Amino acid sequence: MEETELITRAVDGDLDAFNQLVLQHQEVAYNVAYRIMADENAAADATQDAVISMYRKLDTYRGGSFKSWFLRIVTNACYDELRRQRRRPTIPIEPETNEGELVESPEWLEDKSAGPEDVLGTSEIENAIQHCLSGLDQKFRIVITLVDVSGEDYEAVARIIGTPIGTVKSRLARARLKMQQCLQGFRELLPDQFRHITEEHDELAS
Amino acid sequence: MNWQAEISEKDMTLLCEYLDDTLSIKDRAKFETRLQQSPELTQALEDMTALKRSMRSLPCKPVPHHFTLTRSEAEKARRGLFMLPTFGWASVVSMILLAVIFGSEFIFTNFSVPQTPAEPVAMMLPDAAPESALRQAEEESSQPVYLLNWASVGGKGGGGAGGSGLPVGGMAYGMGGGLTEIAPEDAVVAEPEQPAELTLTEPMQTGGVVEPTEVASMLSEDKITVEPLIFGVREDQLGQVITIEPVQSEISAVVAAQEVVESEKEPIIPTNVKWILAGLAAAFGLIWLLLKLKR
Repeated sequence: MEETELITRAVDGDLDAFNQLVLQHQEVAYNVAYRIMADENAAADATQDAVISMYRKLDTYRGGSFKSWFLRIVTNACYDELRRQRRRPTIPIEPETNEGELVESPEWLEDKSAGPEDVLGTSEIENAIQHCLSGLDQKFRIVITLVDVSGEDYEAVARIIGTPIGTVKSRLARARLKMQQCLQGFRELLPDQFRHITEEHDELAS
Repeated sequence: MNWQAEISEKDMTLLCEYLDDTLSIKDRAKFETRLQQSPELTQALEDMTALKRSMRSLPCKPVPHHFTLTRSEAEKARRGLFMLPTFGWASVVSMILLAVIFGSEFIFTNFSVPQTPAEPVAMMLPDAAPESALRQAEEESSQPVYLLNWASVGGKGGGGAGGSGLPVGGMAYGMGGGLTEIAPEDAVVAEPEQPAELTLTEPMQTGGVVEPTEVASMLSEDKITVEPLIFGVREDQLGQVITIEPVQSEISAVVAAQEVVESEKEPIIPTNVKWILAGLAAAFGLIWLLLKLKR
């Protein structure tokens, strides 16, 4: 069944048609959310929220690319999720021994997230990129994710994030510059492998 | 090569557009010429191409589960559809109403111009400003003015003084201003005096001067009967109240003016309504917030 027909039926209240649309786009949506949130659970939550929100807003869909419309809802859900995370920041707990002394680095307080050494030790380039991506400001992260990861064009990104195309261009340029600067550190550790790995990834992807 | 410091933000944007193939043919050709001339730009392009390729090559994460909705989830989503915007809008409307009420009252209280004399309230009172007029009127009404029996004709008018050495003349000059204040029933003036007063008043109104000889001739013709008075005082009615000022009509005017001013002082919207609106705005806002956070 064609997407247009599915949309029409979904707008008319057909839940099966709506679910068909979700199945078609859920992978892109989840991956965009994952790159923005840098956390699988948070990305899953944001995607689920986006799907519910899309179901509620179906009657406001006014044509155009359904994928762009869905991604707009996903990015908004990610914004909401990030805002919620900021509102409820993790409280640092400093445990004490029976004598009242502070335990400097208990096992359960260890940062399980990847450090630069671990990053290069695991799936090098992917983790390095994700590490740098997470360090970007939200607005830059979303633009570079949509253009370079999801493969959206400038116009689609402008529609998704609701800004002029000029803003998309300038944000993308700055995001790429920051990413390049961040990856420079990893490249210094692995000077020859960086491009080699990307070439391998290209071959795998093709 | 460290090209970051060498390349401007504009060039960086152009570089990205070149990389993403969004430049026009003309701009593309121009940029390619610049690329050939600038090793920094060439190096930047290489780095950016590598970055883009590596970003594109990121593996696609498989979804942890399907994000489709069940019937119950869909129903639940539909149920909450109207609640959030309804309470949100209700709160906003209440707040706007409240702001309009307070704003308008603030403006009327602080920036309203005084009423012009042409307005009805101002016309009833001697002064233009209702407040000052009311105050004056209140003071006057709290201290009633007793007009004692002070001659029917010569007493009240200033003209009495004008008739130097001639009592009759004094009477004649005093009549123009004196008689209007005396109520007919309280007037001590004898009945036959009325036509005489009228007769004598006319020349005064037209600006003419009544000569003492003329008055004397009128008296001699018995047009009016005037009892002999010592400086205009009637001995038999001494101490009697002739009239009280302000008269009833003036008091009623003052009361009316007072009512108008009091009504002006009263707020346009009763305080109860304001409290109800504020309460509603707060309640709707809280419900909206709770629903939003719950979502």
